[in-house]
Amino acid sequence: MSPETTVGPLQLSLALALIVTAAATLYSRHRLTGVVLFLVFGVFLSIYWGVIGAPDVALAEAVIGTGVTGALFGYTATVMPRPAHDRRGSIARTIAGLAGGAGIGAGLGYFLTRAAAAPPGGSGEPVGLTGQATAAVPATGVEHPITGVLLNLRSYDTLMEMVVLLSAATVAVAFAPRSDAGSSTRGGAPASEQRGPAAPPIVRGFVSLVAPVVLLFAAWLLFAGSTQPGGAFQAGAALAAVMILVQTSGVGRLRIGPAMICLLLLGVLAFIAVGLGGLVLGDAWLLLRGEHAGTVTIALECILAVTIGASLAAVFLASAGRRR
Amino acid sequence: MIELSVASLTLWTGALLTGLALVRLLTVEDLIARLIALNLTGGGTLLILVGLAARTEPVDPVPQALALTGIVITVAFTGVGLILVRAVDDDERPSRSADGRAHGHDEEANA
Repeated sequence: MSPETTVGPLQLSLALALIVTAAATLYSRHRLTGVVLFLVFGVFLSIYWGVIGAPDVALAEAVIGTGVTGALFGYTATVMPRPAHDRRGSIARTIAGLAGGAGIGAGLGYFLTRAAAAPPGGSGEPVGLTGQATAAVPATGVEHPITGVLLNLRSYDTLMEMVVLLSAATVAVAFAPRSDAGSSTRGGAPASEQRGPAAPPIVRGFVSLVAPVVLLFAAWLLFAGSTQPGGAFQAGAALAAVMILVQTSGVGRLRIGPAMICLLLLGVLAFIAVGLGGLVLGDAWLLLRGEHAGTVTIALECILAVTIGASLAAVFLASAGRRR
Repeated sequence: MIELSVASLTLWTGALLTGLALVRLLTVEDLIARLIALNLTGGGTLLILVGLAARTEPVDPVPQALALTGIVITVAFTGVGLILVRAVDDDERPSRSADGRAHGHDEEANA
């Protein structure tokens, strides 16, 4: 899509729908309503990403931003449907909030569009890093520019992202339900209590049908990521989705144990190992070049996908299973 | 009809979204609503980021990669936030469960 094209009715109506669902989400009275509207907003947002030519972001938004986040919010809002304090919102306050927000947004939008329009009018030099990134992509050994940028050209960002995920997973492990400790004080049947009521057979059947398909889809996303939209993050989130489905439907029982903790650590350790390998064999820390760069990138992606899946699943388990 | 490019539309949408969600983030009391507002603020920020990337043809891959990173960071802090909300909720309602437990003990003792 050329940047100079005027927007069509599709883009315009999607943008409008985004603003309207966002306002409805923000000012909804009940937690569950807010969560459901947030899911609707996520669907609109991922369609919008796809329409403006950012399919990678669209996939990630659909799988992570709406899928996994929606599962997290949905579970918590179902368990705790009403706030501890009464949420009092008068119409006047809602209107004031909307007006203030729109005012701030309009000011921001005005300055942003002014600033964004400034450089290309002047020197005629290409905007942004598109040229440099596409020129450097062949050296990374993968064909898809975004995967190349994520895992090779700007791998420091991705390493730190894995560290952030590890921190989140650490919090999850710290707050994870302790089934053994709980059972000693409470006595009977804490396991079934943690698991919630068993899902109806039709749901369990559906999950056992769908889970392998989603696993296959995750693997496809992972390997497709080297040549086309997809990659470790989307695949990892699909993996997490399988684990969340299996856990909540009662088909299987996941626990944050030593094996899970190893998986959580694996991603950061593998990334650091690759970085050190670049330092020892190549020219610099985290610099991945040469003929094997593509292979190493894909191997690293596989490990990262597993760790991302395990981290997201661990966060879900910790936020879902807190019943003492 | 004003000439509006896709990049400008994305920037405007992102800016309005960020403004609306930011005000709600700073004013709402309910913790889950606050987390949702934070998520929407993040969405608006990503729209601005990709709006800046969409000024060239093809769309600049570097801000897109940053947007992917941003989405993963968002789910990470949302998860941590929800775990903490759960913990706060457990702590804020001790009156009910503790009373219930205390009554239970009393009844057991009486029995």
